[in-house]
Amino acid sequence: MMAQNPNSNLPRDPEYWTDLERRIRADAANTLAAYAAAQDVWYDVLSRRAEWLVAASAAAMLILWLALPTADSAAFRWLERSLVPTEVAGSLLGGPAPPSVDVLMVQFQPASSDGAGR
Amino acid sequence: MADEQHRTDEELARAAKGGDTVAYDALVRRYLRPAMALAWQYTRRVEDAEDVVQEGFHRMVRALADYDDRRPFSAWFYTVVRNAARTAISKDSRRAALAPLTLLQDDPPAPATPDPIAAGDVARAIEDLAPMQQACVRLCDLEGFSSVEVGVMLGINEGTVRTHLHRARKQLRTAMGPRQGMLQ
Repeated sequence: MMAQNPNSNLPRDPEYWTDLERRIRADAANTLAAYAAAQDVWYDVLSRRAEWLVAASAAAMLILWLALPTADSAAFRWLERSLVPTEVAGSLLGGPAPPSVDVLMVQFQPASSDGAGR
Repeated sequence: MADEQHRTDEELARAAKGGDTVAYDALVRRYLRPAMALAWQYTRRVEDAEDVVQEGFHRMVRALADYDDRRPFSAWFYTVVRNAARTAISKDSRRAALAPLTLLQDDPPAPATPDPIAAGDVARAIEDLAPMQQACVRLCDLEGFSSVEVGVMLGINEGTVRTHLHRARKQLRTAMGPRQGMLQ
C-alpha cells in the first residue's frame, strides 16, 4: 500500500479501513451466494462458452462442406458403391408386398472386398 | 491470498460473478481506497464518501451478472461509483451546492478571485481551482494516484488529466507565490 500523503483527505487509521472492508464484504455476501447457486445450473457452463461453441460449429460445418466429394472424385464413387443399389431399393419400395427377412438379408449382405456384393 | 494478487481485475470479477467470495474480497481490498478518494471528490466528507463507496460496491456486486469481463473492470467500477455519488448528491440539494464536482465539467468557469496566500494553506488554494482541476490535483498530488489511474477514475483520458494538472499547478504556483515549494 502506498504511503499516505499528510494532506490526504482519507482516514489514516488502519482499523477504519479494516472495518469498512468488513462491512462491504458482509453487504455482498447474499448476492455472491446467489451467484454461486446459479453456477449449479448445467446450461450455465454452456452459455459461458456459447460464442466458442458457435464458432467451432461453424468451422466444423465449413470444413465438412469443403471436404464433400465432387461427383467425379474417387471418394464419391466409393460412397456410391457403399450405398444401397438403386434397383434393389426400387424393387423393395415399389413391390406389391413387403420384403421378407430372408430377402432383406440376401440383398443387404456386406459387399465383398472386390465389389462382387453389388 | 498471494494468488489473488497476481490475478487481473477482470479475472477476479469473473470469479466473483461466479460467487467466489475470495475474489470479491480481493477486489474490495484493491479498490476500496481509490473508491473512497473518488467519492470524497463529490461529497467532501469522509462519512458521506463512505456511504457512496458502500453503495458503489453494492451496486457493483449486483451488476456483476451483466459485467462483460472483456472490458476493463476499473473503468466500469468507477463509473458505478461516480453514478452512486451523483445519486447521493442529488438527494441532498444543499450538499450539491457545496460540491461543484457534481457537474464534473471539463471546462468549468474561472474560479472567483483567490486569495490563498491570505488564507494561508494549500488546501484553501486548491479550493479555488476549477472542479476538475481540484479533483486531479487531489487525486494525483494528495492521494498519490497516477494520471492514468485518475483518468480512469474520473472517466476522462490521461491527456486531459495532465492538462488539468498542468493548469492547476500553474495556478497554484501563481497563487502560492514563495510558498510554492509546498506543492511538489
